[in-house]
Amino acid sequence: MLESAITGLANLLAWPGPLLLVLGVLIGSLFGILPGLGGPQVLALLLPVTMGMTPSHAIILLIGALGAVPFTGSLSAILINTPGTPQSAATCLDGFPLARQGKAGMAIGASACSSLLGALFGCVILTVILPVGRQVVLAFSYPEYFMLAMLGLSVVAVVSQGSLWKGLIAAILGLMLSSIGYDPITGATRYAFGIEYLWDGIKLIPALIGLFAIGEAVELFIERGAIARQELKGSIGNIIEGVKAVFKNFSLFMRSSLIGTIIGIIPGVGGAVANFIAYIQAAQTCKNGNFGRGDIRGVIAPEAANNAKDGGALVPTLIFGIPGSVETAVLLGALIIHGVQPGPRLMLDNPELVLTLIYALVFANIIVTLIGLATTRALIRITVIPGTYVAALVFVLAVIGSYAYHGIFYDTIVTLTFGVLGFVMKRFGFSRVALVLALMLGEMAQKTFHQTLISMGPVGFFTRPISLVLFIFIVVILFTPYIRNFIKGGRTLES
Amino acid sequence: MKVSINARTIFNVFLLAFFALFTLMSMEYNSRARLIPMLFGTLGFAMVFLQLLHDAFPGTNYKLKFLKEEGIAFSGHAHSSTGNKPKGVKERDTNNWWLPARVFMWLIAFLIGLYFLDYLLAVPLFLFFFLWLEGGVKILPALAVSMGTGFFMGCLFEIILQSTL
Repeated sequence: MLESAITGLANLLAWPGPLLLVLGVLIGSLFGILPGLGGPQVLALLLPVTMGMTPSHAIILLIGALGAVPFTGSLSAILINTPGTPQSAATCLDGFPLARQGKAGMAIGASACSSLLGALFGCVILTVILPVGRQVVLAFSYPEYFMLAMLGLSVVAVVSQGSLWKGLIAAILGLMLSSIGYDPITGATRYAFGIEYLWDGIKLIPALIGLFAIGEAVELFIERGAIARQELKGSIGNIIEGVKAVFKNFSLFMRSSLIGTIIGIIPGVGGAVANFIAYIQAAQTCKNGNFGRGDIRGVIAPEAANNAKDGGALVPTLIFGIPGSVETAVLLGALIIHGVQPGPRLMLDNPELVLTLIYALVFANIIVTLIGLATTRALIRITVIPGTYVAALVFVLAVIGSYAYHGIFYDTIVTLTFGVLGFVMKRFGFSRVALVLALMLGEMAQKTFHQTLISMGPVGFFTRPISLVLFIFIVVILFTPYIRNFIKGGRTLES
Repeated sequence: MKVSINARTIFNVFLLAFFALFTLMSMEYNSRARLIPMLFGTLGFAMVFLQLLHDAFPGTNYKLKFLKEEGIAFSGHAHSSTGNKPKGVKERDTNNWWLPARVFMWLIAFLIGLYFLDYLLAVPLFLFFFLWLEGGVKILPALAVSMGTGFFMGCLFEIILQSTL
């Protein structure tokens, strides 16, 4: 094993390995920061380029790009409230309010540190778990997937700022919108209104860009002021303050990383759920929270989970050849094209290659963090540029980003429609996060609900231990505000 | 009873119509395909109806006070903005719909431009006219930003990504 570890590291450091890694990180960073582009697109773009390379060089380039996307996706979430990727959506909740308060430097510092350590955590777990990961993956079946989707949806009870009732309405609206298109079980086409584009349902990326980027940019344009409403604190000290905040909240970081890794291991759930669930546990467990109004812990938790999930997502990909996400699906294709067959024998036949992949992920995260920290002072200047310019540029990036996503013009119409919806929802206090969550998880919830009913019957949801524990969590989360209010009401009456 | 009809009420009516339409349409599908949309559509309709009562008839607010319950992360906090606004930032007027409507019309025009023209032409044109006419930016800065962005987009998509947008 030690020999394989040294060979794996030598593969990474042998020329042109480091150059490919840096190149991958730079390209991945560009894709991460631009709304609409992300991991799958950058991997698809780089795949043909790797054709003439050795498997280890190809993996270094691809993993370099893949490792850079999560952190850079969070930069746009913090600076302009536009998540570069869906996995960064939860970072908007507290990252952008911090930018509004002139503390974008602190938020980026915390995000960078949390992302890097989260990724390292994920990689350590990946290395340890590879020999025993089979059991973990097999422990999850339809009822667990359904409960996970429901757990993700229960975030609504946590993040509904203003009225929880309106948050629930937004979530139901999202669930209804996620019903558009082919029903995953019966194949019936629902709510397509004769439009062929809608057969595939509403695409998440254009909807996400519209809800957050367009809605926010219109508001910014109307205000005419800059994003930062208070004096910009962009000194090195502020960035370091953000880094220190991660160590001050180390137990929160560890919990969030663990959540990210476990959710990453479960195929098909993805980072978007991981970062919201990490956010819930932060909001539930942290004392004196100011979540949603610029609490640094609201940046640390989702960022740690978001990056830790990459290591976790590689477990099913490498052990079973089952991709845990769209990114890992493209990566899986790349491995097969280069003659590497993922599966239970991979660790026995090609341990050096697996370790090269893990090292590449670690180094990619280190490089992107260093680049991020080095450029933070320049990046946060965005928050003091007059809103008129920022809004106009966000409009263009949002529309072109959604167009570039698949090259389909209808995607831009979806972006604009959701932009109007997002703007109106924000004005009337309906949670946009709740809508996005439901849109993301709706299909998985519906599919696994029917699959459980068909294969196990209604009792299937409650007879399996993991499913039952998740169900209890959901009930606790959903009813906490009402129970707390009931108890508070009782105390007031007594006094 | 006093009735309050405003943009909020109209949005509630829109949501009510949406849920009603989707619930009715779900009846056309087979039993499995309609189960969840029908269930949630009905639930959504009922919830929006209560919200509509709450917003349109202020007299019902006392009985429907549970509609104001906050999420876990925010319960107990006083509502405050995320910071004091510096000079130059306009107070948000949530009843003013004309300016946002105008911005969305600009965006529709951008989409039409994108459909008929190449994006390398549509992007600078939109940016220039939007910044100049709507944003009140002087001609030279508007021109510089639009040309600069067009150049960046061209380099990114045509040269680096070699995509055919």
